[in-house]
Amino acid sequence: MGPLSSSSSLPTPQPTATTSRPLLALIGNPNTGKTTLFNRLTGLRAKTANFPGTTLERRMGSLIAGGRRVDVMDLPGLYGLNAGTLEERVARDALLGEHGHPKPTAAVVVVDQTHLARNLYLVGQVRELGVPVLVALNMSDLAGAEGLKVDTATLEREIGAPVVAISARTGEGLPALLEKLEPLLGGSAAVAPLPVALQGGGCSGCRGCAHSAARFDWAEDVASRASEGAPHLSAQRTAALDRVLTHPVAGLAAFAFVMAALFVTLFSLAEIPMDAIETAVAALGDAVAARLPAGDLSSFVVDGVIGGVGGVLVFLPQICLLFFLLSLLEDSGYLARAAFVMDRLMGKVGLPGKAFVPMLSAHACAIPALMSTRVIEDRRDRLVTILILPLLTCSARLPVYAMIAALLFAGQPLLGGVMFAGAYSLGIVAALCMAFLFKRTLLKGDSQPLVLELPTYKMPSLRDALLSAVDRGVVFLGKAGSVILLISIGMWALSTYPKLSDAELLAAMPAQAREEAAAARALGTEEAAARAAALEGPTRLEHAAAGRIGKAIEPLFAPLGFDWRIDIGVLSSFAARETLVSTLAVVFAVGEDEVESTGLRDALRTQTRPDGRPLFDTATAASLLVFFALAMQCLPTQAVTRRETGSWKFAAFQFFYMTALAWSAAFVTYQTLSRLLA
Amino acid sequence: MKLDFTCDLAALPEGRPARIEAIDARDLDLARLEVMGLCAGRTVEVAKGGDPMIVRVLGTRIGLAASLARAIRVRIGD
Repeated sequence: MGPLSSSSSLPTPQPTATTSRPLLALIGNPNTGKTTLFNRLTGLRAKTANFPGTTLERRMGSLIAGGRRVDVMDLPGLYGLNAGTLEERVARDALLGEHGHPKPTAAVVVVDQTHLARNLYLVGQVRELGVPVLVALNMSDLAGAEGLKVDTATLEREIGAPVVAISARTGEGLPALLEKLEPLLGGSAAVAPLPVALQGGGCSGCRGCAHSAARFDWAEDVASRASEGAPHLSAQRTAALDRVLTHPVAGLAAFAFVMAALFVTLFSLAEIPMDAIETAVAALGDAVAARLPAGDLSSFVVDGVIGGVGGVLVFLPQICLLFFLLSLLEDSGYLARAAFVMDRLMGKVGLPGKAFVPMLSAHACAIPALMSTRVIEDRRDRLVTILILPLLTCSARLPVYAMIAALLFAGQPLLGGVMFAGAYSLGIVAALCMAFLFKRTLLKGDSQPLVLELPTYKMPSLRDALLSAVDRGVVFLGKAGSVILLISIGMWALSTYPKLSDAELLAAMPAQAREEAAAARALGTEEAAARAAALEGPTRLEHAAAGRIGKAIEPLFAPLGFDWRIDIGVLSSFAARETLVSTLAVVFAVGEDEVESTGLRDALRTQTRPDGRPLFDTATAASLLVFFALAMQCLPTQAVTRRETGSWKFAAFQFFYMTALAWSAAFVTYQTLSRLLA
Repeated sequence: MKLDFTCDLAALPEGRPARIEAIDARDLDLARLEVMGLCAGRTVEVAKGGDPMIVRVLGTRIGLAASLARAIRVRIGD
């Protein structure tokens, strides 16, 4: 790593429209309440975007100081700027205004005054960069309760920068912070000379060099001179809780309990708004359909656009709820313990303990789970986790599994339960095996041995949790929502066009269905018209692009026991798995209101192959189950994979490996079972 | 009796402060340890043994894999 001064020869960033306003960078160690302060300062106006050219997120907001609007940039939580990690490099570039980052006017370093020595290390490094600095001495409320005294005057003198004691949680000290900030925002603030102990380093990144030790010496020295007392109370409480929560046996039990509670809450609570969204979207669709003349436009608006928007919105409850709960767990300090107790177990497949929580939440939905992999620092570990998450049994598979259970084990709930358990296990085993494989081949690398701060336990902030939930929801809608909507419209078009004329439709329909439909139409009731539409459905779909493709790929899926009608279902569920059920209902002319009852099951059971054998025999149903357990059939997930990895490359790889895995496993299942049962 | 001997961090008894002498690990791990304060010259203490273990350095508790703790040489002084 070169000396800092050489960096100034790099091209200066292009001024943008916002650079005319002062820019404040917020930096601090993790668990210092930096996010709470950011939320306090900027309120609800914050926006999340990526740092240029990275998948690393940065939150931007603004505040008013001295009658002037100031942009605020939240940098990732860091212990140092040694530039060993992407976060450290980006934070350093952002502070220096290099590599396309606008140069900040000043930096606020958020410091947890109950852990002063540790936090001062980063303060020292930021001071060495030469940026005007203000130190926000956070957690005044905690320090006060513990009888810990920190002398801001001594700190100001030793650091050579203004220091303000605040409590981001209660809002105490914030007016004073803004007041002291004002002189730094003019852009011409004189930066005090560097403390002697920090001089002569001239390097910020050579590992193990004497300067890093000098910086720690300085931090410990300043901390001991400026503070009196220690946070004994919270330290004792934390040690006592850790004796249980990090215990090899009790800790795992506590972990299992917390995770079960998280999952049950996520699974059951999200269902209420999800149902409400589905009902509202259906009602909206009906209302619009009633007002628009029947035809292509109505079909486009109702099935394509409104259906597509509904398909995006329905993910929101799970995303918001997961991030609300995760924020509470993280803020309380427990999430670090969860990673701690799972580290050794997850290490067996080469993943860090932090990968467990995303893997658990993927059992509700892969999308929020993918978004929560950001806690995994190592890029390879994170990529492997992202690649395997969609193998875990998400709730969208359940309607498909329920349909297959009804086919195979109607009236045998016990066997149905065993089938469900088997499908869940298949997902878990496949995910772990693939993780093991990827870590040894494609994304080769030793798993990073655990080094993780176990922060002091504290009451989590509801406000921050709510803001985190809203933030993730907005990010999902903005970045993935538009892609998902486009895809939904595309899928609608494939299953609608090219259209048959009425004459062609009649000619193409099987004789029996044609007569039945004509008879129904003659009755003239609404119910009969719906029945006639259901009877026409299979022929319409057969001649639309989806049906033609289904027929074209029949040879590809024939070894799995699927015929072209099942292939249409498989194709349509490429965008969303649960679509299989509704597509098969169309393919086999089951009316909308019959799907809920046994209508679909009965229709599926009576279908035969050209040679007269039943279409859905045990081998085919089992093969379909295995295929749906393992295949990548969720375009929203693909859109989020692209966003989280920064390229379509990983989304494409995820699609191909999962489809290949699903095909192979379904092939083995069908061929084995059809021979065994023959 | 004056105590003065070195051992690795994984072998350090709980609650006994010791000074880090040297660390023998990959560069990447060295950097991760260093920003957490686990580097030569710091005083460290084992809060809870095992794998992973909990150590205290600079007033904070750090969860640490035993494999890394074994790479950290510490000196127990008086």
